Amino acid sequence: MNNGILENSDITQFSNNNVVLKFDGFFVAVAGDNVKNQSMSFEVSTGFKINSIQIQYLETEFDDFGNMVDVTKTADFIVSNDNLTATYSSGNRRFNGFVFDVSILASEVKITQGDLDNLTAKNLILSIDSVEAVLGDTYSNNNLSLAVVGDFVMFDNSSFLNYQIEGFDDFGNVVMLQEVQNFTYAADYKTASLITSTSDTREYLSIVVDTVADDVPVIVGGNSIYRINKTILKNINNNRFFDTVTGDQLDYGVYILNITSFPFKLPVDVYGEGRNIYLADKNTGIDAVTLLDDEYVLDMGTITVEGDNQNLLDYVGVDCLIHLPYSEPVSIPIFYAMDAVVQIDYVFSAYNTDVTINLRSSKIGFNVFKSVTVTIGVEVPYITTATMLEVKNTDVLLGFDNGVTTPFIEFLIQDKILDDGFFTIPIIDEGILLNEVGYIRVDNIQLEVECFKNEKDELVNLLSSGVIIK
Amino acid sequence: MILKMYKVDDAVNVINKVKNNELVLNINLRQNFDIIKPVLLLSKNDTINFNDYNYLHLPELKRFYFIDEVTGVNNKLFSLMCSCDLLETYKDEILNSNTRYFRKIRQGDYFEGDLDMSTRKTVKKVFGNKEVELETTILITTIEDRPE
Repeated sequence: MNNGILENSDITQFSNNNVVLKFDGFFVAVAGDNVKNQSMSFEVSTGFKINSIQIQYLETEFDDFGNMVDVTKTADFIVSNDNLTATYSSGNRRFNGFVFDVSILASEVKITQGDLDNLTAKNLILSIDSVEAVLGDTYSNNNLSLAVVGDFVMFDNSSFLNYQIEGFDDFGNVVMLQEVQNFTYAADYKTASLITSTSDTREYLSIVVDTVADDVPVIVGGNSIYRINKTILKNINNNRFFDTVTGDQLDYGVYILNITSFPFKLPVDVYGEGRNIYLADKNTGIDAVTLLDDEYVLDMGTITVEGDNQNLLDYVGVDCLIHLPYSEPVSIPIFYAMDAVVQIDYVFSAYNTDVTINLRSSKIGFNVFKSVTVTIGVEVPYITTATMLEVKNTDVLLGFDNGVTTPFIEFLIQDKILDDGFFTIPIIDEGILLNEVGYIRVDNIQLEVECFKNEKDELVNLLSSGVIIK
Repeated sequence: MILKMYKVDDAVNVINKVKNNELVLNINLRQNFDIIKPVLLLSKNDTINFNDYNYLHLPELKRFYFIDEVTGVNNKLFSLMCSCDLLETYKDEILNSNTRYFRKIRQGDYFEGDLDMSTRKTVKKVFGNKEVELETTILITTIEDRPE
C-alpha cells in the first residue's frame, strides 16, 4: 500500500490471513482502492478468528538534530466480541500497510498433514469418536483415541493436547495460560483415550504424540533368564565344562550370574518362549523356558475391610497387622486398612533374593502406602568365580515358611482384661452393703453389733480383706 | 437345743452362704461349751455320716459355725471341732452398717484411672481373596553370546 492506495500485494496479504476488507460494510476492496477517509471492516473466513489488526501509517516528526523524518505508527482496528470482524474509520493519513493477528478458531482445530505425518512416524492411529482421523478433521467435545501399530508402546505423559485457557498472572491481569491435557493410557499402554471439552474456556491448539519400542529387555540383551528345575540344573552342570585342544578344561559356569530359588509359582505371563541355554557362546543344548523380564510382580490379591461400627470406634486404640506369606507381620496404619481395600504385590528380581512387598490402599487411589523388603528366595550355592572365591550361599537360612498362604489383616485392641473381673473393684462407694452383691472390700465401717470385742476386731479384719456378698 | 447341720460349698468369706442338706438334731450342750470355738461330741447312728456336713447353726445362740474337723472318739462318738462364722452370724448388722468400701464398676459410674492389667486382644481377622500357590521356582541367569 502506498499512501493509502491498495496494491495487489495487500489483497494477497488479506487472502493469506483469511480476511476480506470491505468499505462501508459492503464494498469488497480491490487493488487501486484508496483507504483514506473510509469506514473499513475486515471479515474473517469461517474457522478463523481475528485477534488484532493494525493499520500502519507514516507521520512526520523531528529528530534530535531538528531534521524532519517519517515515523511509522499504527492504529488498532476495533475487534468485535466474536472476533469475526474488525472495523476502523480511517482519516487522511499516509497509510502504508496492515499487521494481522488471525488464528484458527479453537473449536475448529483441524488435523493437519503434519499431525498425520507425526502419528504415522510414531506408529499411532488417531480416531475421533471411533472414526480414524483424516486431514481436516476437527476435534472439540470429542472422544479422541490413540492405538499403537506394531511392537511399540506409549509411555506416561508422552501424548497430550496443547491448549490455552484464560487465567491470571501474578499481577492479577487476565492472560492466556498454556496447558496440556494428557491422554489416559490402557494398562498395556497400547491404547489411550482423551475426551476434549468445551465446558470451560480452553482452546485446543495442537496434538503431541510419542511412542517407544516395546522391546524385551532381558532376552534381547546380554543376560538371559530361564526357569529351570533340578534335572536341567544337573544337565547344565554336565555341560558347563569343556576340554580345549591343549587339554585344559574350561568352566563355562563363570557365565552363570546366579541361580535363585523362590517358593512361589510365578504367573504364566512372565514366561516367554523355550530355547536352548547358552553359556557365553557355548550352546548347552538344554532347553528351558525364558523369562520376559528380570523383574516381575506377583499379585497377592486384595483384602477388603469393612468397619463393624462405621465410626471412630473402628479406629481408636486399634492396631493393625497384616500377615503375609514368607514375611514377618507388618504393622500398618489403621487409616489405610479400615473401610478400604488393601492390595498386595510382591515384586521379585531375578538377580537377588530380596522381594519388595508393596501395600496399596483404595484410600489413596491404590498408591503404595508402605513398602517392605524381605528376603524370601534362596541363592542356590552352585557357582564360583575367580573373583568370588566362596560359593554363594548367603541368605540360605533367611527364607522361611510362616504357614500363611492367604494374606490377612489382624485387628487388635488394647484390652483391659480385668475391667469386668470379679475381683477388680476400682470404685470407691459409701453407704450400707444391703443392696451390694459380689466382691467388696470395706475400707471403714461403723459396725454396730452386739458381740465380743475380739469378734468385732476379726469382723473388721475380714471385711477389710474382702468378702463376697451373695 | 436345736442343732442344724448343713453342707456348704461357699468360701469362708461369703455372706449369705447357700446351705444345703439340712439335718436337724436335738442336742444338749455341756457346761464347758465354748461359744466361739465349740467342740461338740455327737453320737452316730446308722443314718448319719458327720463327714457329709461342714457347717452348722445353733438357732438359740443365733450363731453359725464352720465345722473345722471331725474326729472319731470311738466307733460311736464323734468330736466336731467348730469355729464361729462371724460374717454369717452378724450379716444383718454388717449389711446395715455405714461403710466406705470398694466395689466393682457398674453402669452409671464414672471412673478415671488405670486398671491393673491390659493386653492386646485380636478382635477381627479379615482374609484376602487370593491364596498364593506355593511351588519352588528356580531361575538361572546366564551371560550369552548367542549367534543371531
